[in-house]
Amino acid sequence: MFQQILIAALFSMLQFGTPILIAGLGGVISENSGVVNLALEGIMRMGGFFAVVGAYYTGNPWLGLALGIGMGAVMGLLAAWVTVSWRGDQVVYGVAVNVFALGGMTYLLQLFFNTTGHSPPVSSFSSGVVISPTFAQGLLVFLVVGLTYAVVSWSMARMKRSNAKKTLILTAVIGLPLGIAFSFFAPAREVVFGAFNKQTIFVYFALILPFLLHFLLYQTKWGLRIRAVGENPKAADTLGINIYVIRYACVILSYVFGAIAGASMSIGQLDIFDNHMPAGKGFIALAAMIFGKWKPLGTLAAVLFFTLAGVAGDLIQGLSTTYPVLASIPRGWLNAFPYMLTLLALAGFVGRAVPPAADGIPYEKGEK
Amino acid sequence: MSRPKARFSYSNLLDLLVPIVSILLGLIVGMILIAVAGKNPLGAYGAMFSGAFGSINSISEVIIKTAILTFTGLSVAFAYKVGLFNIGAEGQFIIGAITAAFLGHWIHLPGILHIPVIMVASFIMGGLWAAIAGWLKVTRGVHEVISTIMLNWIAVYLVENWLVTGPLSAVKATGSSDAGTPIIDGSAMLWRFIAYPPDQAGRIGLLVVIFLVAAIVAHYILNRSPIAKATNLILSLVVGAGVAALSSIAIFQWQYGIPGDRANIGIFFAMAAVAITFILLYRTVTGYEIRATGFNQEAARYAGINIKQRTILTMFIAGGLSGLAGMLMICGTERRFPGVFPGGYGFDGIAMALIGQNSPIGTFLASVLFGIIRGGATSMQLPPYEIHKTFADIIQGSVVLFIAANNIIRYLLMFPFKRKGEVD
Amino acid sequence: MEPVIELKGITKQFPAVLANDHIDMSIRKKEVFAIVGENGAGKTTLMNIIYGLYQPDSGKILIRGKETRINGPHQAIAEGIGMVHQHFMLVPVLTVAENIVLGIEPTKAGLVMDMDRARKEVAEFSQKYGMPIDPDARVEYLPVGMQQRVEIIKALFRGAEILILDEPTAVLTPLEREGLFLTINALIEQGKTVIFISHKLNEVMAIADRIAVLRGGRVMGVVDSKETSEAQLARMMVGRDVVLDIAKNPQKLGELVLEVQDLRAKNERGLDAVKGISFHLRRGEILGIAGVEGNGQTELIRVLTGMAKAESGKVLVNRKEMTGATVKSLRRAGIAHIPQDRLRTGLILPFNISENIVLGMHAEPPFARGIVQQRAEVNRFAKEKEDEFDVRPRDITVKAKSLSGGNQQKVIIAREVSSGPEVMIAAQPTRGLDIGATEFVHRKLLEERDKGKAVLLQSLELEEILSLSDRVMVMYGGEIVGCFETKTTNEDELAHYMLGLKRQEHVKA
Repeated sequence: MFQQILIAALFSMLQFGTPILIAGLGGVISENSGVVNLALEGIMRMGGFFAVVGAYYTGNPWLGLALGIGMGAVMGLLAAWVTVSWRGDQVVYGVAVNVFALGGMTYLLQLFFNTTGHSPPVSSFSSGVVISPTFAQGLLVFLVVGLTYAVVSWSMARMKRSNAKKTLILTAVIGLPLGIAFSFFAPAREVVFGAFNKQTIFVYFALILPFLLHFLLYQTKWGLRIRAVGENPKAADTLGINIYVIRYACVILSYVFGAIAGASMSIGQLDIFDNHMPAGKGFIALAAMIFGKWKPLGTLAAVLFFTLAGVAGDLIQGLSTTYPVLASIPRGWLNAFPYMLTLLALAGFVGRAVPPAADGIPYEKGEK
Repeated sequence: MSRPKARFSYSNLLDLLVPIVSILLGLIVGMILIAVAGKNPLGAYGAMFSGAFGSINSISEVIIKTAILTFTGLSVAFAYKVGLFNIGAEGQFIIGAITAAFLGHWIHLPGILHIPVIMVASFIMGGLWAAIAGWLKVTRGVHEVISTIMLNWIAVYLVENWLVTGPLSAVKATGSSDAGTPIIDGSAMLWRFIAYPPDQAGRIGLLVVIFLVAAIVAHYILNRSPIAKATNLILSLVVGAGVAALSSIAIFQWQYGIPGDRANIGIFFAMAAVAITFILLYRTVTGYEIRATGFNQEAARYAGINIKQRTILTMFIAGGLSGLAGMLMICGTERRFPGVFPGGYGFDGIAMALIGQNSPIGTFLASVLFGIIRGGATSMQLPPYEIHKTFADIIQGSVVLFIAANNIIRYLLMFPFKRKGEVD
Repeated sequence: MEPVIELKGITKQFPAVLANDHIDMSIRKKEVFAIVGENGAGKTTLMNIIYGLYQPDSGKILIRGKETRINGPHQAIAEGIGMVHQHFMLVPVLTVAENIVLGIEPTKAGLVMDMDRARKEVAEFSQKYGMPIDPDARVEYLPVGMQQRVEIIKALFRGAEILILDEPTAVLTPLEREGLFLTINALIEQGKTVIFISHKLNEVMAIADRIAVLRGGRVMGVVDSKETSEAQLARMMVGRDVVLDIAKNPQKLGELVLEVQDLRAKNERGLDAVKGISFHLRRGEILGIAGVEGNGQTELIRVLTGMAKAESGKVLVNRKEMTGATVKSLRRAGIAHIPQDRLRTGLILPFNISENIVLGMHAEPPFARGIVQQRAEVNRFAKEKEDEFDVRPRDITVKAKSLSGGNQQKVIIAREVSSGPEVMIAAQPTRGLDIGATEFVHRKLLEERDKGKAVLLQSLELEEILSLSDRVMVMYGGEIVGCFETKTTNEDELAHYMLGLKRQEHVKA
């Protein structure tokens, strides 16, 4: 009984969290380079729609995804051109994209599919990936090691002892045996199997992405340059780093992530584009990024928190058959619960969130 | 070093031209999209604009949309003055609406009192909802963008999935099977002026007289202060409109429940709000302090301004303006909190403020334009064009996009003057 | 000695100003070449041209005898030119090593940072030039002198042979300044060339081999430091003889207005910054606060003006206790404040002159009745003050951001003087001003004193304190370590107290 509920909860957490996490990480990469991306909601909508269009006309979800990504890249290029090259207001631009996507996709939905409800079903990833118990075992090891890595690098940063090699060694020494031990623990294995079986490929992408991004930002020279540009572009400029190249790359990547997040909803979880998509998930992604203090692993933690709070509502609803007292809690309160919790958490525990110093400020060469 | 200062330079003109050119370009983007779909763009636009003014009914729709957009737009513009980005207009709008729906049905007062009571309550409730974000900002350092987004969702879910379907539902209150809250009292309905019976003409006349008198008096008073003549004229007209709007409550509200088109005196409230916010921002100590805080917090502190209190107050007023938008929606057009809430005005308010360059009058003009476009867009849904009404969002989004890209527009508009080297 | 850099006819026109006007100069290898001039003389523009941040409108640059077009900093670096900007170009959240290797990171497999190698190389470099530093320290936690060291190592790390130091001493303590001069000498020993930009004549006299003087974008002359004097340089800089001594009227000392008892306060980071300060101030006197930057002066003034809260102690204005009072009530009690940072604190740049000139008085009659602003009254007042204080341009609708620094300061002083203060608290009132504007400010402060007001003057310029104050107190480490009658002390004596080498047993200020 308990295991069933846990599996169901984890399953929906992964489903609910995937688009938010991918989009939130898109926000992370852009804002670390100093460009605010408020357009995630709109870009998710566009990416989701064009992925469906691509899949519809080619009959191949991969080509659909490719079209979605291509659309994201083009929109990212446009965004970078306006906000980086022409120093347009980044917040205003984000609002514009969101409003435009709202009407624009409805318009195109009608144009392509002659409806304003939802598109016809297209070939998609929604049937998910069927996994074997052995695969689940490996996944469990990966999850434990990943979690260890996050904890280790967080505490190393806390103690101001960040060091790539030591972090990796510590992670391996602690995480690997722990993960292997866990993987022979049958209930844990079953839960992982249940939670992951038939999840879409996007879920795996979303799970690896924060670690990739963390590595990019904190262990590579590109990451160092991105952070330098986001904190003090003028300093980076005087060292011959091309601010424009870095910001263009980060903004485009950010929009591509947003588009993938959108596709993960339309041709991932479902096989249609629904005109309500993405129903505010882009804004939650933004909140998760701020909550996660503009860091990839922080954003992962924030998304976990969000989804946990979101699933808590479902859990209570699910349990209300056995515990009738729970049924008296109105649906509105359950729906609002994660947002209230977030607000309280932001007000109480997290403390002040400090964005990159140059976040949102256009860079002008030769500025005095 | 010192540059001779021209009172009216081309660069001042540019500030005015940028939103206008952005609007034109946005309209052109819309035309291109229509053409791509193989339809006649000019014909479609013709249908849109003639649709907006084609019948009393559609003019009426334009008027109510303008009124509500003005309020949410002012809300965003006002918060911007203290340096906050109020993404939460939508939530404040919903809170104001449910307050109006509640007080409209559950308390009973004569019309001349009922409306003012609801207005005050909607203002306060919307204001308090926004003030939470202001308070979190100044005491806990929570970024207002994230807190207002959270507050939006909380408002949506608590109101729509709890109050409207639960304690305040029509089903519970009156046993009717209608979705939403019960119909509000007649005394809480705003007077709808277009389909007035002939005997109402006298009151309209009275209103015009009040407007003229107020404008003339304002003009006389303002003339004694050294304000540029053009500003004075606009300002006195605005003041006149404001006074007329407020008196319209007294003139009309004692008789209510007249059937007819949905346009109502809410539009006068909106004009009054424009006048009041303008005066508040630019002619009072409070407005001075709000603007000072928005530009430079450290200097504001240095000047003895209580910036925390000013920030919260600004958010309160901004939220109140959105709350009033919700009140207009309930008391003016919907007359109940409907089962399916026609939301989005809060988000549209962001665009209105941006297009109006965050000035009260600019926001109003933007709201008029988009009131027309939104009112007319419904006519494009009919054959032969069959363009969904969310097409208005495309235009709105493109215009805001061009506002964001204002440097490009400036550059292009500067082009003929480039040679003279007056660019800075 | 062969020249390493030659400038020929460098001209740069900005929209409003001709910043460089046919500048010719040639800089020799292994020398310290100083460029002096007032603010706005074109020093920084010229250096930005050499460093490739700006392109000259005409003229050419020869590096080691070869004509070179410098398109950007990366090319300047390739030519062996390094620059330490006045405002450091560091990324505060990164470590010392990360800042130094940024852009030329040692990597494994071409992408992954090799931090161990970076650390080692940084350590080697700092050893070689005698500038020890912890490569793992986060730059934002380093003192200013150390940050400057990071900047210098950063330039050397990129193979700089010619090092441009733009106003390097502006932010340094005297001790740090001595350290910098030692470093410069060590660099010359190693065959480097240093271009030293400053407007402090005593410093360039001490460190430079040759000195170029700029005025209004032109070179007024290049002189050998051994063959010139401060007075001659000053004359070249401003084009007239500068009165270094200020005529002061005899003092008419009045009653006590400000009394501070055992005041303690913390700084923004929560560390103790003001540690039990007591002093009193009477009408008709100027009390100077001398001290090296960062010894609690800023925090003391923030507390006295209500911008920060005291931990303990008492502040009495006109014998009335005002401890912990708000800015507003302190202003009402007659405290006026010329803040040390006029752009960040003293003005609201997008506001026009008339809006700025009532800042702080904006809610008081006659500028407001209730909450209604009296614009006519404000404008009348602004016009009057513009004339009285000679603010240019004479237009009250001009925004503060388009005023020159001197005129911005005039607006602030006009405002604070006319607020009818009992106590005028002036924090570094002439920082960054040219000589003309500085004279103006000094005259106004003396006028206030002669009118019978009390003036508290905090400055980092000892000369300013000595020429204006009646009494001087020296702050060191958050305490008052000495108090003197100006007439009975001198620069040398004060310097000993400022550096913490001496302190009086029982200070009565």
